[in-house]
Amino acid sequence: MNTSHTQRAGLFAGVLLAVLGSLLPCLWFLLTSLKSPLQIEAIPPVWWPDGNLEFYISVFTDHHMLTYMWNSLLVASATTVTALVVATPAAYALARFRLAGRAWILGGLLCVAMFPHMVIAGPVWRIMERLGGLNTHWGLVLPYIALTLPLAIWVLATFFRDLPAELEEAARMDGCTAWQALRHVMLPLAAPGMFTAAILTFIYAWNEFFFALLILTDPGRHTLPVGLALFQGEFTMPWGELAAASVVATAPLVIVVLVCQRGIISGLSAGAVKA
Amino acid sequence: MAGLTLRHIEKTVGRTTILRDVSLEAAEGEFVVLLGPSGCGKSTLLRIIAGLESPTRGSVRIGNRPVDRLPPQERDIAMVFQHYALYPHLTVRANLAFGLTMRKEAPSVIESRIAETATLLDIHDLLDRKPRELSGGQRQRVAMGRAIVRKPRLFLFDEPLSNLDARLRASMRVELQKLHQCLGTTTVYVTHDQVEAMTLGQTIVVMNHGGIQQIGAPGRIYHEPANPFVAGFIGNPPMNLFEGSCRRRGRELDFRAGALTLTMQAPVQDTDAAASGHATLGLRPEDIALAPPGPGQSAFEGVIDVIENLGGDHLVHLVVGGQRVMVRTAPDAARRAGDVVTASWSTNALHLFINRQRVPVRPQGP
Repeated sequence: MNTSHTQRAGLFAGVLLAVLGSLLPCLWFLLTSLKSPLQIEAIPPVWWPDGNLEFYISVFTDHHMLTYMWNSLLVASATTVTALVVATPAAYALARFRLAGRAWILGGLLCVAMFPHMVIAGPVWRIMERLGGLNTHWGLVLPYIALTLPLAIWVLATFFRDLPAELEEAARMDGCTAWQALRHVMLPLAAPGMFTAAILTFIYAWNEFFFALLILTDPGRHTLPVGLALFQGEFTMPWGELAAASVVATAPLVIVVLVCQRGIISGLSAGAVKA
Repeated sequence: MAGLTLRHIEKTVGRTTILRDVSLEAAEGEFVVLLGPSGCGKSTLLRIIAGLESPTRGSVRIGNRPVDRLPPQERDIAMVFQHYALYPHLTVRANLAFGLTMRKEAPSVIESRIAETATLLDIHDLLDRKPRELSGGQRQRVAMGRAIVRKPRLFLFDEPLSNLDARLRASMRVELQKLHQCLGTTTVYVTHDQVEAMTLGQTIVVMNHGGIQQIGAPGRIYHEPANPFVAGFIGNPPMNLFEGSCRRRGRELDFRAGALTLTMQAPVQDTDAAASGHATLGLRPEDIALAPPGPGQSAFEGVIDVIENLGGDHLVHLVVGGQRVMVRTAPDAARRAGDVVTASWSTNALHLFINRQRVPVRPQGP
């Protein structure tokens, strides 16, 4: 047995442990969601569920799971699309043009992203009250955009900066205006960066709890995190339903990430210029 | 008719001067090479012609049209970039079509132009591949194809062969030459490689520190360098340059550099002032022979320091009176480091620069 084999085995074991450790809570929820009420309460705990789908049915029939999902999808999609539409030209300009104080702008954006939500909750609520945005989805999307834009701009600006400027110049020489060069050459190449920014924004908006609770008080407008939190009764903790709802809430995210991952990994810019 | 005219181009960024008073004229269909060491401003000049950068002062005309206020896409120029800059998300065919599509050419025209270009560059088999599936040489061809296919007024090349290996570079040089003969488009080619410059250029523009040192045909640049910089930059191995001083004595000129002294006939038209002062004497390694002087030749003795075998030739490094002198000569197995040899040359082969200006010298009269 040589050292490289031992090292590899050690590395593999370490990775396995880390992956299992981080996935264990998710796995436990998945298992719990498939148990019967008796199995959940059993002591000693039962590891393997009997495949009971009762909780899933209950989540959709006794609770407003579909409404929550629809609301979340609406809010997260609107946030993602708007943030990307605004962030892309901003990031492009910050990455490409010799702007005065560019470092300050980027630094300022980072500061905005670092404000604790608690600190801005009051002002945001007042602004939304004035604008009539309380209890509306756009009233939630607006602060989400403000909060996710810095991250999206940072991700995209880094990406644009790494794309060779020669490509854009080639497009200019080939007859493109600056805008056409962005659209026909830079944007297709920035797709992996845009996927990344989109996923991060979407996940944020999908999972956000605090502002969703603050701005949307009408149960018909609740998003998933708030809806899930309201599963809890005054004296009861419906573990099975919570587990099933969490699985249902997480599934779309996992699917989105898996689908977009291909776009991120494909390394579109390979072969653009000689390394 | 002029293909390209540059007048008093200057470029400063902050306090750094990148180009100083560059004026240049290229005839229609001429192949002009901008040659110089890295950082001499040649690429910046090319980018100013392209419209990718704007000059601080000066004007650019393409044909008879001033283009100073036109963006790159309206100048009707094609440029081949150092790193090819092929669009990685498009096939070779789409790369070639891109410029034509942007200019709203009819699909039938685009199709026939692509076919024409593919034949010219022999890239038919590559048309449906993506750039990442091509070798360096193939990418280079496609990059040239993308420039050719548009039939522009002017071609710009920014060190296009610098990423290729030596063999490929040699064959691409020949192809570029053939291509220019075939298309006859005015071309500006930037390189730091003097072999490329000498073989491709009809006119070479030697640049240094943002200024033009000399403009001329390759033979002229080689045989009559205008100043010590051009003399030392052009030629491989480089010219032997001796820094010293010159003094006029009647019709004769004495040059002294350390232990090395020479007497030449003074140029007739020059005044005493111009003919005296700091001087640089140049002698190409290939103009020196390791043999006793014949009639009309001068000679000095030196000690062989190192002998480099170049295959067909030997490069002999001599030490002469504390100065190093390179001699390119036919191989001689009997020669050894440490030997004392006589080196001779014809006075015709001397290059003399007084106060960094070329001064014509003639052999000492009888």
